[in-house]
Amino acid sequence: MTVVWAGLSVGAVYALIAIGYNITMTFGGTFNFAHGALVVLAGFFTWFVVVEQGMPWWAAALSGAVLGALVAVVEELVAIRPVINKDSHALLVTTVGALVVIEGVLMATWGDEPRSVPFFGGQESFTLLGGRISPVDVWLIVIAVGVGVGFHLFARRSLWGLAARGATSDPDAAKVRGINVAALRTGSFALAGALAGLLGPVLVPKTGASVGITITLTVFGFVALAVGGFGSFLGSIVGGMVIGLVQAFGNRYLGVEYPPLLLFGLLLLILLLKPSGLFGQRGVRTV
Amino acid sequence: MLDKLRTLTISTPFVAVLVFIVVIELPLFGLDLYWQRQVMLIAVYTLVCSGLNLSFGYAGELALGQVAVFAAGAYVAAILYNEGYTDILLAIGAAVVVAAVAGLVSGIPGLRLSHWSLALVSFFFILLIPSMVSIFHGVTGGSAGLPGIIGPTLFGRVLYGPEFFQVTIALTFIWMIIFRNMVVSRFGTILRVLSASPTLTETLGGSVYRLRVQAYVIGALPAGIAGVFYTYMAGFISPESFTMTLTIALLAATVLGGADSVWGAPVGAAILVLGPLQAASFERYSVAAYGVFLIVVGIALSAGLAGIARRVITKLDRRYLARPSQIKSVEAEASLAVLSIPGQRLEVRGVTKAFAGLKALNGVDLTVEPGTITAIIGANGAGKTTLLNAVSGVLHPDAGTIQLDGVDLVGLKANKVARLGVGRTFQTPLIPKRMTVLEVVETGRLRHGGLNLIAAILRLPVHYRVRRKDREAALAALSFAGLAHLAHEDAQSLPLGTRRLLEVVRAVAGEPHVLLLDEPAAGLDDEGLRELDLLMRRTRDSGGTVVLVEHNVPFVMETADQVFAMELGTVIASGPPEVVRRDRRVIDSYLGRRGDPSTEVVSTAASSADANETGAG
Repeated sequence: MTVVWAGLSVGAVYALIAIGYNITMTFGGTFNFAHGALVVLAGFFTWFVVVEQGMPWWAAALSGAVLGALVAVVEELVAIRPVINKDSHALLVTTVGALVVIEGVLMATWGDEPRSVPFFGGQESFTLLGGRISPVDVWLIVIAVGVGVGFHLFARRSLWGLAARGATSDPDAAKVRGINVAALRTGSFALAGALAGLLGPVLVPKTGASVGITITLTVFGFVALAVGGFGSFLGSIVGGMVIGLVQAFGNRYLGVEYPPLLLFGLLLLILLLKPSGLFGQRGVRTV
Repeated sequence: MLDKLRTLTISTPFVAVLVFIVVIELPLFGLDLYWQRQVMLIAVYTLVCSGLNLSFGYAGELALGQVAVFAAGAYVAAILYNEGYTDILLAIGAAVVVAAVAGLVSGIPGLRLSHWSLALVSFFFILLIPSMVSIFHGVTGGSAGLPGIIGPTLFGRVLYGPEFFQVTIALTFIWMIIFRNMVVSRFGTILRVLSASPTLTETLGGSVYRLRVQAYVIGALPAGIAGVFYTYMAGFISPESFTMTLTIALLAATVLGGADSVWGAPVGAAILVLGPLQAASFERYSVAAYGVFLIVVGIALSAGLAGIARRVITKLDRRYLARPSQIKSVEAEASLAVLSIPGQRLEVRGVTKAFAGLKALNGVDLTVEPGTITAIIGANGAGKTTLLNAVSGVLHPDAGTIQLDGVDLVGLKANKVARLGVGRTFQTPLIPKRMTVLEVVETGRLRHGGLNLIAAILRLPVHYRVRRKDREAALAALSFAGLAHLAHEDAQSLPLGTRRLLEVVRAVAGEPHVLLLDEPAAGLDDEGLRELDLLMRRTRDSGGTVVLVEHNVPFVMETADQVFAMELGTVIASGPPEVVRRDRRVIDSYLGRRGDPSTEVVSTAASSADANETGAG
């Protein structure tokens, strides 16, 4: 059971990243390659506020949300808006560029040494349903499920969700009906960035703050997205948990070097056999 | 003389050969070991970048895993060496195989969705490097790496210092020539079409998916080869040599040199090795700088240094070397060739197609006889373009049959339909960037025969034969429409009407069995209309089957042998022009209640031209 808890908690991290990808995709119609980098940025920022400045965790969460939203909006305005109507060729380069800029700035500011931040809710692990689990793991799993379900309902029920669904399925028709597609996109980036920043104090005790994990978060978050299905928030939760469990059981029974291979195989299989993912709608295949 | 020199420098890799001869002799002129290594590193990065040029620059797929393929090549060489197989050619062969497998494994699933999934699947490769190295630590040396891999052999002879340098440079150069020959061929041309428009690629007979896989896999091969050279050059490899930062640096070097050019790769690689980012004071900010650079290049979408060079050459060329004689010879050649356009019978039976419940086509029946011009008229929304899309395989009807000379077209992919002989044009002309008129028309020929990649690489006689035939047919089609004098103009900068005509010419050059024209007359002036009329009649008179969807009723009535009028997804009248013109329902629904088509037509034609200007279709 300890392995299951470990899998679910690390899975929650990937689920939250997949949800971040999904936010800009469902509400903004754009894939944000740099979302993993935003999560890493939030981790470093939490370390800076909590460990370096000695401020409380909620200060890091709130200011992190503002910073995350700001950086994401700047990314959208600088790297996405100018090229969105050109071929996807350019968008590919500029969003990768955005990821690299965030990474490069982090490296130049805080170096490439990993930093760790203690969890504000305690470090002592306890036994739950026959397995050892630490407080941060519980928080992560609950938050991932809560955030995923929340966004699922928000996308279905809210006016924003409705407008955005129209805008992503047919931007031109949406424009005619008075929907500001560009504003929706900027808003979706702000939302995803704010979420990443807000969750910094919960994520960083689990992942640690280091530039080196950017690619892992980016790629595994994407695998979670692909498994769960593009455009499905509930799918992101399930996808993330599946990834986490594969990783945890792989680590436990095969060795730490095997999970990437297993997940790579899983990703290839999903893309070959069920490209829309477990819960994906056929319509949202912009990725 | 000047002309010869011009052709030599611009149309052949003559300058590159000169540079190569100088570089390979450098050790004889006292280039020391440090600088030999620097030059070899440029060669290594050139190989990696040239692969990125092909997959990203030409085919538009971002292969972020290029460094992992590079690493795989390096490890293959090192492992073979430690097992006693020191021959460099053997190592290269093995590295190429590994690179191809890696490319296929990631490309076949990764390319099924859009660009993003390939970028991420290939990005995943970088994560696999440490895993693979540690799983096979027995042969890879784990994270400690493998030292002492020095002195490969070539046919049993050990290569040291300058000799290894020369072999590296020579083999790199051979790859560059192979790459150049691939790009300057049908393959390169259709990749340029692909990056402009996947739909166009399909309707010209190219399978988008297959081309993407091909370009991506071939682009991985030089990275594997580069790994072999890197191993023998460094003498030591470890997983730490192959990082994400290197990936980004190589990507930046590629776009700096010019992503869709052949010789941009060595320039970008040289700047990467020798340039300012190597300065120690700059190191801290280098990653951020690469990122900023990628964003800037992406926004400006510039063609890199190669693009600048191309502009300068074109300018110099226009100013000092342009020859009217060349254009004359074009016309002379054109009159010699004759196109054969064997028209076939097109039968559409009971075709329906619904979009979100709305029936765009509701049981369409029509038959088009070979050797005729058939027009389809009807108001906007009558389903005319949908019908063309269904025939050309761009969309699949819900029910009904479409047959070309008895062969069923329903369910076939657009590229198959094109290969069976359906040529078409679009409402908004799709003309790829940076192609001359002649090159654009030649792309219409792609449906005949394969890409013949091997023949192109080796420049076999068949390659030249096909190229000559393509050129002759293209020139013949151009002179059919009276456009031969524009053959060497830049196609994209032509006025809209001429581009529309050019699309028709491109389709005719493919000698299609049936030619589908989507509002070809919109936006044409009187002269344009005459040229279009001439082109269609000549096509018909050489046996071709022409189908056009058109709003310009006087033009239709004058040119067409047969007219179908459509309303709400069905055919409401058909027959010779004068019959359809007097049909009560056609007058009511389309031509106007006053029964005088000539007054109504002006406004209809004008409004459809407007619609096209805003980019409909």
